[in-house]
Amino acid sequence: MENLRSRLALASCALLAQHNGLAQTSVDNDWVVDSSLLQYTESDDRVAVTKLVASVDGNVSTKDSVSLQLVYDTMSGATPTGLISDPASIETVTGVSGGEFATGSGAGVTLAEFDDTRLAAKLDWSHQYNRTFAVTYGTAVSVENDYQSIGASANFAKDTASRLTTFNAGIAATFDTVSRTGGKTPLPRSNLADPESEIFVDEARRNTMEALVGFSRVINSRTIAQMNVTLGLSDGYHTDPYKLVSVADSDRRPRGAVYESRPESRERHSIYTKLAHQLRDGNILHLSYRYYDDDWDVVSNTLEFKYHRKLERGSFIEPNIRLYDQTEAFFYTHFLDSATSDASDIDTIPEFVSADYRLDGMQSYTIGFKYGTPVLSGGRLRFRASYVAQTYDDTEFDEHDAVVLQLSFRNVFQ
Amino acid sequence: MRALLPGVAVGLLLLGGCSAMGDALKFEDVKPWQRGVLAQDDMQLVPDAMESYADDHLYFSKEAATGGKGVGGGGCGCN
Repeated sequence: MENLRSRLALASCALLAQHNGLAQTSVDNDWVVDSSLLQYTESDDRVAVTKLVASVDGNVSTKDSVSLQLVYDTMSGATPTGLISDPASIETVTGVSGGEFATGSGAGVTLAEFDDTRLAAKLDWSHQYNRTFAVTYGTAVSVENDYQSIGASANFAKDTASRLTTFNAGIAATFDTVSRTGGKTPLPRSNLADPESEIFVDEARRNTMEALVGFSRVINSRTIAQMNVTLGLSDGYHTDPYKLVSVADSDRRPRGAVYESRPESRERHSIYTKLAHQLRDGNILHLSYRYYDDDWDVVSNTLEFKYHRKLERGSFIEPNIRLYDQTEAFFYTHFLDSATSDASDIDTIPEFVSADYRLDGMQSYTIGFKYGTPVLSGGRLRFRASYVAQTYDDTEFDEHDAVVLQLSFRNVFQ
Repeated sequence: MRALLPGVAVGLLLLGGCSAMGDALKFEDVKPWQRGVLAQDDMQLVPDAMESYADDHLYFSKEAATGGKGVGGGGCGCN
């Protein structure tokens, strides 16, 4: 009898071992497909963007997963050139990203029309080296008429033995090629009205390295927190090849214009923290804060808050708000004073100067909501609408607002 | 109106945030079988990749500050 018991115990162990063996070699083969259509529309017929995104994620072995994301953007409308308005001549010209750009004094051309498309792809491969250590290797490419970017990254994640804390480290390199449409790039500070047209060089380049260290921590059964510190170093052509700076007299009458000029390097730092917490009623709060500064003297604070409220039958509604501010870059100016600067004499133009409104001091808020509902088997449909408002300290256009509409659909295939 | 809206929002945020903070910041030893809530899609640090990607691109195009959530990904000219 004892012998029979031993045999049965051995047989059970063998079966269990065999079962475990099978479990270890089979692939949990859920594939997640996510897709999105976004419409971004600025007021006053400024910029309009339609963005299509599709991604697929899945396991290819017990230790490996892949993620592929494709993006197609169409962008059109009018964007500020940086020039100040001339009451005698207010007009709009085609210029940025896909059209002819006006030559001459440029006086009064405060907006430039553009029309461009962008294609981007990103491929990530994650490998689980052991129970607590994984690495994600990534490549990314982005192509538009006047801008090409290619990059690679590696992100490391190490769990503690309890798996309550995950330490993260990441490094990325990005190589960008910048030009105006047609492959020519203006020399910074050159005179827009230069009749010799010797102001263009071939495509310019910019290289960027980014590094991240951080951790995420399970605080309790309903709360998780994250903190990241990032460093970004870039070197090369940082000037926007379409942006201009007016030279104007004391009555604000334009006397000429030059191409803007930005430093050839930039060092960025940021600290990002996030908390996700489920309330006792089952609804969820997401709260994040980012502090940012760089060696262009831009200092910024970003606060974001989302309240995920569960509705019946798996639906939800999620109001959100984002608050943002930034100080101006040290070389930002609304326009140059013609008493000290002459567009035709580069030596009188400051080494670094830009009238790009995005480098001015700015306060901004975004307010919106998202609604989601389950559809089909394993699918989820989301719709969101957001309103973005920006106010600048000293630009040609004091305010600026936009509406974002996004429809997304995610499905898990088992 | 533009100045008022963010002010009201910050007030609500702090009100909601503070009352929830006590619960949220109570450290506990969480066993694997107690992580059901944390495993939910909506509790992930990036709960909606499509929204996160779109927002990152939008704000990267319109603001001087960028980054913080991660590293890697392609750039763009951005008008």
